[in-house]
Amino acid sequence: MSAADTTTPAKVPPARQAPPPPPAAKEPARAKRTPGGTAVPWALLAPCLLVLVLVLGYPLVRLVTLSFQKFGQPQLWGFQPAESVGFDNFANVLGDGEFWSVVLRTIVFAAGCVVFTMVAGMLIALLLQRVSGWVKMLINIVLVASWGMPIIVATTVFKWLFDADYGILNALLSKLPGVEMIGHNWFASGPEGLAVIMLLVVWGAVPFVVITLSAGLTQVPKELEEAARLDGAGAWGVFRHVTLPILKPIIVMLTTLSVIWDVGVFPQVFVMRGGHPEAEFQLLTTYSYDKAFVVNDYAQGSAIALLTVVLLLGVVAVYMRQMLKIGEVE
Amino acid sequence: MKRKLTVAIGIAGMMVSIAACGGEGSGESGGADAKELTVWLTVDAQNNWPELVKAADAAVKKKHPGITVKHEYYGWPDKNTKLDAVLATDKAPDVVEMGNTEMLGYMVKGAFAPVDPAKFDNSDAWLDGLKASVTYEGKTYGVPYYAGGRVANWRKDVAEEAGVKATPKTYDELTAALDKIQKKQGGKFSAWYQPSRDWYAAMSFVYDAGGSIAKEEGGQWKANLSSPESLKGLEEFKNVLDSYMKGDKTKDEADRPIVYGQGKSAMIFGAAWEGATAADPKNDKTGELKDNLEAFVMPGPSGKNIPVFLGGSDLAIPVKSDAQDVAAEWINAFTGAKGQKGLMEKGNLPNNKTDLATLKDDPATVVPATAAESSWFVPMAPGWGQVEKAQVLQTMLQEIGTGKKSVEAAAKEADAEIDKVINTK
Amino acid sequence: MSSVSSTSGVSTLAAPARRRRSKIGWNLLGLLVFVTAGFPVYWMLNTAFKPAKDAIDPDPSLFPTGLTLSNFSRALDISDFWGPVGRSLVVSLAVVVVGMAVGMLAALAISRFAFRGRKVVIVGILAVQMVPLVAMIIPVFLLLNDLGQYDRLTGLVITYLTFILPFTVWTLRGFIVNIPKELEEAAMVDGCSRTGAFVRVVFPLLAPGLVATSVYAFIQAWNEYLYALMLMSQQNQTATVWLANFTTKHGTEYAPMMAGSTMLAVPIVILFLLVQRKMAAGLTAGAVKG
Repeated sequence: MSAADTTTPAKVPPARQAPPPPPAAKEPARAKRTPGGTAVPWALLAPCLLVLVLVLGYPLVRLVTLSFQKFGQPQLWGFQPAESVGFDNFANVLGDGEFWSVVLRTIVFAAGCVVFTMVAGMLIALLLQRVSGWVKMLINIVLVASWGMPIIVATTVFKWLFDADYGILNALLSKLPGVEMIGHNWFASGPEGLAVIMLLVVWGAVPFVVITLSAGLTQVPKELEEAARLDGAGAWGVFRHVTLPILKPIIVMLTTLSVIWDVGVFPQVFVMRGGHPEAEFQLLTTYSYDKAFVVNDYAQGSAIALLTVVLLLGVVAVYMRQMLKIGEVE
Repeated sequence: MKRKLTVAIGIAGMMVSIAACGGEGSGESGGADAKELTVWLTVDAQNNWPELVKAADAAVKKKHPGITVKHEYYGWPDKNTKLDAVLATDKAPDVVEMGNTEMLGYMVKGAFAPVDPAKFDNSDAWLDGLKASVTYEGKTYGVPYYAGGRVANWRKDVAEEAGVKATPKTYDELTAALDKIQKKQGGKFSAWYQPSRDWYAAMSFVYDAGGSIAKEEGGQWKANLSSPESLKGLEEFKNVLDSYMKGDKTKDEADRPIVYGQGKSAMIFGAAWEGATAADPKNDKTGELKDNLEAFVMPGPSGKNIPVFLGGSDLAIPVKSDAQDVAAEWINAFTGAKGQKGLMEKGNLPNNKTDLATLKDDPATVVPATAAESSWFVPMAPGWGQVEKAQVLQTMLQEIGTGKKSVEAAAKEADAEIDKVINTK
Repeated sequence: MSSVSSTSGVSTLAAPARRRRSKIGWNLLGLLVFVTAGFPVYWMLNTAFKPAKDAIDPDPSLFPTGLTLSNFSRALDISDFWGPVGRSLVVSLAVVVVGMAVGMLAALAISRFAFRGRKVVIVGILAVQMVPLVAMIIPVFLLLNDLGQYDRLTGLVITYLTFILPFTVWTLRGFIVNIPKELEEAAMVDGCSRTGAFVRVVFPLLAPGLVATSVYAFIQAWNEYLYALMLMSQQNQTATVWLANFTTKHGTEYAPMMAGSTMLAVPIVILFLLVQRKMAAGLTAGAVKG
C-alpha cells in the first residue's frame, strides 16, 4: 500500500486543484500497475471496506443477534443474560397493526420527499445555468447556508415559522385578503404536520441535489447541446435527449440515495414533535427509536430496523439492476 | 477480530459483575481513595447555579486532597439515552442527576447503588414526594436534590379590568373570575392558558376528585383513569380547556411561560418559576407582566387546595461507580444544608420539610411552599417509567383537548395501554 | 464568476436582445428561489441579531426589530465555544480528506475494473446505508468503547467515515463512468502510465464531483448530533452538541441559540466560497475537454 510515489506532480494540469487525495490515490494503483487480475481493484477497495467492516460490521451483527433475543436495560448492563427468543420479536412487530400503518405512512412520506426533492433540485440546477453570475452566487450561498444549518436549528426555525401562537407564516397568510389563519394549528393533524415536515426535509435536501446535479451538468458537452439545437430540438428536446441521458447515472444514484435517506428521516420528526412524536407522526425510524430507547426494548427496536432494511432493499431492488449496469465493465 | 471482541466484551462483563458485587455492601469497597469523581448533572446546574457545584467540589477536595472532579452536563432528553449506553461499560459516572419520575425504572432494574440515608443532612425530613421517588422495596437508592412546586399565577391588571378585585380562594370564585375575564377579552384570548398535554395539571384534577392514575392491589398495579372519580376530574379539566384555553390544543407546557409572556392569557397553572420567567424582560412582550403578576395557591373543585405534582431532581450513584463513598460525600456537600440554601435562592423548593417551613414565613415564597403541602406523585409501579416514556397520559389528554375522543373513551384506552406495561419490570 | 456566465452565455445562439430579456426573466425566477430557500436562514440571522425579547413574538415582524450583539456574547459565555468548534473543524476536515482519498480509490475499483465480487461490493456498500443509524447507536458505542476509542476524536472520525463513504463511492462512481475511457487510453497510448493517465485525464474531470462530495462530507460531519453526543464526553464535545447547552428545564434561550448556530454556519459558508473557485476551475476543465 505504500509504494513510493514516483509520478511527477509538476506535469499535472493546472485545473487539478481539489483536496489532497491524489497522492494517496496514485500509490496503490501504481504499485500494482501490472494488469494482475483482481488484486488491483481489491487493493483499491481495501481501505474503504476496512473502515466499513470495522465500524459497521460488528454493530450490524449485533443488531441481528439482538433482534432474536430478549434484550432490555438489564441485559444491556450485564445484570441478566440475554435469552434467545427466536422469531418472537419479529412476530410481535409484524403482528402489530400499528407497525403496518407506520410502514405505509413512511412509504408515502418518503415518496413525497424524494419526488419533490428531485424535481425541485433538477429545476434549480437548470435555472442556475441560465441566471447571471451574481444571482447564481446568491442562490449558491443560500443553498449552502441552508444545507449547513444544523438540523436541530433548522427544525426549530421551521417550528417557529409554523407555530400556532407566534408563527410568522400564519401572520403573513392572514394579511392576504380573505385568509384567516391566526391560531391555525399546523400540527393538529398528522397529514398536515407531516406535510410541513416534508417541506423541511425537501428544503434541507435540495441544496445537495442542486450542487451535485450542477456538477453533473458541467459534464454535458456543450457541442452536443448545440448540435441538438441546430437539429431543431426545443429546450425540452435538448433536455430530454441530451442532458437527461448524460445525467442519468447521477440521477439514478441521487434518487436511490434520497429514497434511503428519506426513509431514514429521524431528527426532523423527532425534534419537531418535541422528542415524542404522536402516533400519527410515527415513521419507521422514530418507531424503532421509541421501541429501543423509550420502551427500552432494544430487541424490538433492532427488529424494526432490520425490517426497514428489508423494505428498502425491496424498493431499491427495482433500481438495482439498472444501477449495476451503470458503467458496466466488459 | 470478532473473537477478540467477544473476549473483550466477556471481560468487560466480568468486571461489571465484580463491580456490582462490590457495590452491594452499601459501598464498603467503594474506593474511599478514588482519584477521580465523575458527576453528571443536567444543564440546569451549569446555567443557573454553577457556584454551588464549585462549592461542593471544594468541600470534597478539601477532604480528599488530589482528587479531581469531572463534570458533564446533559440536556434532559439526551441524558438517559447516553446513561443507558454508558452503564453498559466501565465509563459509568459516579453521580448522576435523575428527574424524580425517572428514578423508578432504574431502581427496579438495579442500576443504582443503595445509599444510607443517615449519611445525608435532613434525611429524616425529606419531602414525602421526593423520598418516595428514591425508595424502592424499602431501600433508598438516591438523594433528593431539589423540588419544584406548582402554583397558579394570574394577571391582576387583567382581572381588575374585568371587575375582579380579590384573588380567588375557592374554585368557584376562580371560575367566576375567569368567566368574566374571558367575556371581557373574548376571541383568541385565553383566560387560562392550559396546554392540553400538561398531564401534571390534569392529574391534579384527577387526584383532587379522589381519583388516581393507578391503584395497587395485592402487589399488582391497575390503571384507574376510567374510574368514576378519575373521570370526574378529567371532565373538569376538559371543561377548563373548552372554556378558557384558546391556544394550540396540541402543545405541551414547554413554552408556556413564553406564551404567557406574550400577554394573550390571564392565568397559568404551572411550575413556580414560570411566572418569573414570563415576566423576565426577555419574554415580557407587553411590559405589563412585570408589575401585575400574582401567584396563588390553586384551589381545587373539591373545596381543598388542589394537590400539585411535586417535581424535582434526585442524585444517584450507579452500582458500577468505583468511587461510591466519595460520590456520597460529594452528594451530601451539594445537597446538604448549605446547598439547600443556595438552591432556594435560585427559586427551587428545598428537599426537606424543615427548610420548607422557613419558606412559609416569607411572603415571597409562602405560596409555592403552601401549595407543595398538598401533593401527589406518580404510581411507584415497576412499569411506570414505560407509561411515562410512552406518553400515554399526554396522548389521552391531547385527544380529550382536541375533542377527537370523548373523555371516557380516551381514559379507557389509556387504561388499557397502562395495564399492558405497568407491572412489567 | 463572470467567465462562467459568459461561457454559458456564448452557448445560446439566440438574438442578443431576446437573450437579454429572457435572462432578466431567469434572474427574477432565481431571486424568487433565493428568497424562498433563504427565508429560514434569514429568520435564523434575524433572530440572532434582534433583542432576545423579540425572539418569539405573537405579532411577528418580518424585518429586524433592532440590532444587538448581546445574543452572541451570551452564546460565547454559556460554555466554552472555541473548543467545540475547533474539534468539529478537525473532525470534519479529517473526514473530508480521508473520505475523499479512500472513497476515490474504491470508486475507481468498482467503475474501472471488472472483477469477481464487484456486484456484491456495489450492492453491499449501498445496503450499509440502509440501516437506520439511530438503531446502531448502542452497538457502535459499545464497539468503540471496546476499541478504546470512546471520547476520542479518531473514533468519531472513523464513525463519520462510515456514514459518508457509501455516498462518496457511489457519487464518484457516477462521475467516473461519465469520463470516456478512451481519453485515458489515448493518454496511455501517448506514453502515460495508467496512474499517469488517471492523474492527468481523469482526475481533473473528476474535480467537480470531488468538490461536491467534499462539501457533502464536511457538512455531514459538521452537523451530526446523535453520535457526537454519544461518543464524546462533555470535555470533548463538538459544536452541535454545544448547541444543546441552551435548553434547560426552564425553557430554551432561543436568541442566543440562533446566534450560536449563526456562528457555526460561518465555516461552512467560507468553505463553500473557497471551493466555489475550484468548482469554477472544474467547469473550465470541462470546457477545455471539448
